[in-house]
Amino acid sequence: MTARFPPVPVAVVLAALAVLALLVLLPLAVVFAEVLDQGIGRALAAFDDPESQAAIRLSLLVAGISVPVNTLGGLAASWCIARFRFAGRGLLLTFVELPLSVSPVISGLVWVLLFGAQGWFAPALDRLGLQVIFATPGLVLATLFVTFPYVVRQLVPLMLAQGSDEEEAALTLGARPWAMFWHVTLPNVRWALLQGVLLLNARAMGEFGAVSVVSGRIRGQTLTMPLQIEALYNDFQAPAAFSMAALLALLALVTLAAKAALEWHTRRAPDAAWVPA
Amino acid sequence: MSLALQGITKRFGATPALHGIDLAAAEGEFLALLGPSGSGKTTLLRMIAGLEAADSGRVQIGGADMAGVPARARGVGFVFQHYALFRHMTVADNIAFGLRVRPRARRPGPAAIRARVAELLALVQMPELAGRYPDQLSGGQRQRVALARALAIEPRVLLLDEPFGALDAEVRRDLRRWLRELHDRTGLTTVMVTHDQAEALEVADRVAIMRGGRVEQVDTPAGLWAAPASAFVYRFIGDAVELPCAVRGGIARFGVPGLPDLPCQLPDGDALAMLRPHEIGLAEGGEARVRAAAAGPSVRVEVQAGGLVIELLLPPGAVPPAIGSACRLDLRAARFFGRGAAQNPAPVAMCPRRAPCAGRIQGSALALS
Repeated sequence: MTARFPPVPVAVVLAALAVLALLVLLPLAVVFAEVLDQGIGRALAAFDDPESQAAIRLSLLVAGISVPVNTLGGLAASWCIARFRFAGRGLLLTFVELPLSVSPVISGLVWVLLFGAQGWFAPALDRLGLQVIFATPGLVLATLFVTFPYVVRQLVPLMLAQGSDEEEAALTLGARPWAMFWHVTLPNVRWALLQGVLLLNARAMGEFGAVSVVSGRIRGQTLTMPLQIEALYNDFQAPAAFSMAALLALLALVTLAAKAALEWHTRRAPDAAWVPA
Repeated sequence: MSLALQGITKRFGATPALHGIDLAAAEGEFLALLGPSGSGKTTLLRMIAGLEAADSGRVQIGGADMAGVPARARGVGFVFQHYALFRHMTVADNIAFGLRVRPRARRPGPAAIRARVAELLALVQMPELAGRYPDQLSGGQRQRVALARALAIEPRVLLLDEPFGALDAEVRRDLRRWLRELHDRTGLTTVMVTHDQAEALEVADRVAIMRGGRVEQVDTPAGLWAAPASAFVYRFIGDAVELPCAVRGGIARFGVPGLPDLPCQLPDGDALAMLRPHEIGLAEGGEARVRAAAAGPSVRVEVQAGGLVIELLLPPGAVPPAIGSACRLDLRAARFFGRGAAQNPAPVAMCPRRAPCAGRIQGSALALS
């Protein structure tokens, strides 16, 4: 397929690879080099710190809530956008992307404005004795907001391309709506959905800006992994910071590998590729 | 099972799509909905299936009103234009789908489903392809799988939306014949949507010709040929030569040298004389002139009369006339349709095919008027 293009000059390829190495691979390599430099033993010792363990637990909790909620929410939103014509559909499609285009600081700040001590809902929360900002609920809300678009962005184009014929066929064959969803809608988008979930998870674990605004940075309580890394670094505990950073980077690499594997699978699998009839 | 539509109307936003459709199909009948794109035929089919709701009017299947009955409970087999096979399922799983999603009480056991799938695969003549995925099949094979899948639920009515639209000509012809045989064997009531008049006239017992959300005419293929109800129907079911004329006192005059006056039953006013190319007779001597003649299965002749170019067909074996020779036309087989009435607007916009013949005549006819 590439044969139609004239051969790319070797120099251009090398230049592109050099930029990639300098801007992407080198920083990543530095993280792991620092860790190896201090020795695996010392690196692992950094995880004995209860505050670091709390940060890992908190990140897992936040991701553990955000991923299923936004997977289901994204699936529902995608299906509505792709299958129905309704007033405000275009608006919805645009606003779904908002979290990606707005600065993460703002994504955090809106929650402070709503639920903070001076926020709109502060009186109501006070009465109920609930704390949202500077607590886990705030971290979850900020993460939910930031990660909402990932599944929708994967699914809507695919669902639009596939059309609704197969779903209608299922209905005429006697399927109830739930059976239609389970046997036709979901299998048709499963690989794209999985890719969206991977990206969603990576962002949920790695988000810094939005959660830093709502976190309040209470050690051992409201620091997620990225915030803990910054805290450690500011405390001149560079080795511990790099250990944690390596763990987070490893997660990103695994995500990337899984996504690449999925894409490779999608290209090969007969059932996943969209074939125009 | 019998099928009846009464007073069906539908608007999409501000656009009216169907205006009060009344249509019926008897049990075991093969009905074709024929019309150009945008005539509402697919919308009508989707309403029978329950995939689209009518704004008003009634759909009855087997005498039962289908209002409020969802698609899954109507017992219709629907074959989609692009087949809509489940891409992640094998052929066998596609066919078995309708049986597997039945409520447990009515669901056959796995062995029974397997047997039914094998039976249907045999019926559509592709038993060896049970394990294939849809994208490993040709268009014709997909079509057959879609049919087998629709038949698996033992539908009361079979609905086909442009079933041969995406296939090449040869496969179409074979499938067409096969479909008719299948219909006869199963005894199903079948409704097929198509824009191809040859297809509709060859396969169906009766053809409903649709235009702009209305049914123009419903009749048997022979009936449509013998007595087309409007110029639109005449034009739509086959090649047409259209000659504008003026009727006065029971005589149609063309005002073109070489075209004889004809008796005509229409009231005074503008009219269209319509003929099939093979119905036009050609005789030597006269004010018209032979422009071109080409031998083929039958002899195709172009005749110039005044500003008009008329294309006609002589029967096989006829001797092609000499080019440039004087001739006159025999138009006694003409059928007249009034013009100017709302149902017969200017003919230019709606000759959907056969453009070389009718289009040129229309062009020059318009230039004259």
